[in-house]
Amino acid sequence: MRFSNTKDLGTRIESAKAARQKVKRRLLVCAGTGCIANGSLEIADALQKELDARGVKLNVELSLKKTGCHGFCEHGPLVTFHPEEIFYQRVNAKDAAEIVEKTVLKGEVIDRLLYTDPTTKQKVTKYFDIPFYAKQQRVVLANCGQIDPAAIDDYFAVGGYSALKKVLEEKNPEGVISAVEEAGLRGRGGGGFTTGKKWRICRGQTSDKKYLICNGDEGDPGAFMDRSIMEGDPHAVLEGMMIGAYAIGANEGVIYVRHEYPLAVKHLEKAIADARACGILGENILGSNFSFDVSISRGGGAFVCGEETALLNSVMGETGEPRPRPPYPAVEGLWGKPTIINNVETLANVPTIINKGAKWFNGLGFKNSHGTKVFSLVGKVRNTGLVEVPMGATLRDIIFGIGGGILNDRPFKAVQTGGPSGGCIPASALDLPIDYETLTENGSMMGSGGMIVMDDRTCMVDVAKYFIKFLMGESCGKCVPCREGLRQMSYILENITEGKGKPEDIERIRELSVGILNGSLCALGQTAVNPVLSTLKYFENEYHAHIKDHKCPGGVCKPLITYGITDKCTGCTVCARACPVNCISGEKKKLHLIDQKKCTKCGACFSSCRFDAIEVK
Amino acid sequence: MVTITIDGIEYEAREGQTVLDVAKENNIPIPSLCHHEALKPWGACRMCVVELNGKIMASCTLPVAKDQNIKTKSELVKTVRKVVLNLLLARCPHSKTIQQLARLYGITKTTLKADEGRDNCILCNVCTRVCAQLGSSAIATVKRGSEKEIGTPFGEKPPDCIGCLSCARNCPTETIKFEETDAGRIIWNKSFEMAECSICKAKTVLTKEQVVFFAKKSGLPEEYFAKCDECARKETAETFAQLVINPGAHIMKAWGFTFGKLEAKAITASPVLPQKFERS
Amino acid sequence: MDHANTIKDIIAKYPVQRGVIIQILQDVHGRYNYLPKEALDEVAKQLSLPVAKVYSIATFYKAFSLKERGKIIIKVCKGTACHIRGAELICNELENILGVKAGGTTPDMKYTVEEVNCVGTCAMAPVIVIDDKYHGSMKPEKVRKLVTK
Repeated sequence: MRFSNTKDLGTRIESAKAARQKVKRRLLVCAGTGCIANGSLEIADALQKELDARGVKLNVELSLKKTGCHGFCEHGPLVTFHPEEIFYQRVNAKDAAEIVEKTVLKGEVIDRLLYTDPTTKQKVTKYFDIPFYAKQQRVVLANCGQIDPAAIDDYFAVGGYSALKKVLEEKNPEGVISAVEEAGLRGRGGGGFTTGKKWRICRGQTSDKKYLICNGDEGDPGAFMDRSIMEGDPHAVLEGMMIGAYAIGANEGVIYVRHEYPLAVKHLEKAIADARACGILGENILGSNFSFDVSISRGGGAFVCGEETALLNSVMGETGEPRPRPPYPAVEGLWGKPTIINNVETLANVPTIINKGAKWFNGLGFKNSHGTKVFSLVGKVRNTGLVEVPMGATLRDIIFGIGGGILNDRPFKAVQTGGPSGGCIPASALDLPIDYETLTENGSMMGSGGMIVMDDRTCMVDVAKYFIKFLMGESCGKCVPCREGLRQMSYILENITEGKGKPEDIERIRELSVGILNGSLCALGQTAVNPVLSTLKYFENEYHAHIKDHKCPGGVCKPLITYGITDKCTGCTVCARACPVNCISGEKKKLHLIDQKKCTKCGACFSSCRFDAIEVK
Repeated sequence: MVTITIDGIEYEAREGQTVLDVAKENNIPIPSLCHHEALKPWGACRMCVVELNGKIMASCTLPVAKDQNIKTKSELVKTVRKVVLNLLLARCPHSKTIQQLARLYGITKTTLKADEGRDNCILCNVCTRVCAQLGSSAIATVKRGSEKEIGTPFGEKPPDCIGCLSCARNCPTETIKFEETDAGRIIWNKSFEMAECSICKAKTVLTKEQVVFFAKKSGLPEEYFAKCDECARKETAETFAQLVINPGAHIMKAWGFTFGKLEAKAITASPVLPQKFERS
Repeated sequence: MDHANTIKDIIAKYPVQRGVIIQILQDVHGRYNYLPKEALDEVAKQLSLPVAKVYSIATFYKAFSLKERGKIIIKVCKGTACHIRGAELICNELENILGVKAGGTTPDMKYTVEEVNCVGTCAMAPVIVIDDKYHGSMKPEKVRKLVTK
């Protein structure tokens, strides 16, 4: 099926839509990395077997599909049944027979597999009744978990490639750029530069060759929205790239994907091959003058390659060292040619802007931040996963509304946003609207949308040390402030967490920060001190507690803590059995005791105790 | 031409120049470590930072632009340079170059954790860039981040090294060690023999590897490069004399024409040459 | 092992373009489970690149190991979500069981333990990946069940 013009494509989209409407019952198994890890592929096989065993044939009325990530990975593997929207979680292959017997054949709900709302303790049957989904507005993630990412027809069936069709039929490149500008789309990967403006700069360059690169080097630890989008809706990324390429006049595209994301690579490769076969990618796309093709470049594992100029060097087969800007890549990029680098989520927004209109997109959001943003809500929160909300939602909406509050009802301490370049935001800022500017004003940043929730058992000095060590290992090592500064910063923080800190260390950290922040060559170094400065701003008392009192208020820093057993102990012996160095003694049903001399402070007793009887001091 | 302001004074600059270029031309002191006249700007040491619209930029990679207002002595500039020097002094406390520069900014001892037992490399990459520019690329950076170092492949003797010593001679902290004798040299643990003069068989100033390398790069025969100073001077003088006596001869020769031989006597006896040279 | 032909086959899959070196090294790494010196020399030779450059790239990117690795690769995710939920305890437990720190290989060449910055399955933190199979919500006790010396 090769479409020679946009009309053929339109016909195909319509027929695919009609076919999808005919399907009366859909059994969807999540096959994102998280659910696969928990055995979802075996579940899909088991379901198929059970259907076969009962002679139930898959046909236009009943389908069984493996979809992309739903974002609620912690409760995986997930199986959903439509149109009833029955949502089963933590499914096992052994449940397959029952699902087929009761739900598929009789429409009955299996209570045991339903999700229990941790707040109300009520079972919830339907997908969109689960608070985690009910309070989201899924635009970019709309197709993730709903379609088979490996089937281009599934993408057609949800109106896929109709934006490309519209662009080729109705818009000139200028029109596309105006629409994206009017929509107010800003980069979803970090700095938040206006996408339309960036495209316009590139469009204005005269060159025989231009490139469009999709940055899928999701390096922020704790963020996985780009992985989910590439895995779950790869064609949306491709369609966004095509529209962008058309706008700037590029004929070659590269998707730069982390090597840690093998499934994303696999799905993108399939999507590219299918799109080529359809005549949507390649020479004279859909009979137009527009030619564009895409290749995949697997990153070598370097966080710094998320930085545009380092990424370019990596694609050109060099070490990922950034170079000074200007010249900006839009003027002088890959192989010296004008190049646009957009993040995955940014590009996945483009087809929707074309389809629903710039006004619609611009109407969503807050102040100068428009549309929605996907956050990866993780850490010490009840419901962890991918969350998409309109810009301007508050941290409280997300953490307590969608996330269901803090794990084990502990107090909220801080939320870290923006990855290693971001900062920690305290409880006092929970009601602030989330947009690019507000986050920056509060010492953090949007970044790619990582949102790591921390409770009172998190040590803020340890968090700062974690990020500094992370960046020290990820710094390319080219410029002095970043390479040497982060190393020195790490020494100081290491000392503090070991109880060897000195009062003057705080001043030293501040001095170093000024040099690193202002003096570093690229954004990695320039923002590297944010985790330290923000924790120092909001939690300076914790630093003092480590330095002056030799105490870790979060109970994390090993040299400063001791584990003990309180009289809550029931003598169940679980901790004694969990202890790897056998330093817990005590008879059954009697209070246990930890031998402090032998204790390695591994925390195994703490995590194993079911009676909250282990205390950390 | 564009006009830029540095510390309140206007300067004329040519398009394509960097702020550091302009500063150097006008004797405005801006310290730098990784900058090298013969190499592309690198922007890594951050010593040459200046302030532009409240932002710190490396002047070596900052192209001049109309109405730029550059500050080289602001508090922020000084603070950043001091942090950089404090960091470098912690990295190589015994480097004379760094000590001297640090003293200019009032730093005599680092306030940070000093690395004892490390060499004086500041990772300015002048060595690797010179090596790459000359076409060998025998050494390069190894690893990344705080573990980054300059090294040879697998820490072994570099197979592509031609022993030209460019890396060592351009090192701002004189960290790259080498040994030199009349017969040869040792650098990066690799021993080199000096090439023999193709005319008089005396040792030349080039290693055998350099001769082979230059011959390959230029397409000229190895004998062309394997010459001792004396023979090379003699040959240059002869060529020059030929030019003066019979200007068209070498061109004709290149085109394949042959003329009658010139008398050797006439060449060496020509009195005109030395005088002309002395005058200039 | 015939490095020359193996590497020739890998190189043949890619267009003749300067940028493909990292892709090629990934495939070579996949083929040998690490980057042997001889293979790197061969890649440099066949691509007409200086060995120093190939070595520089191979040591810059984390995806590459220049040391021979064990049969089973255990990756411990050290992403933020995993860190907050106790990845450190998982690392310590692995060290207790196997006697090697991150980056190390057991003397019998059975296990190699590696730390990765984020595997992107943050909702199941802490996560370890054993031979490409992901294991979520790890606890020291669970590690002991999964990994035996």
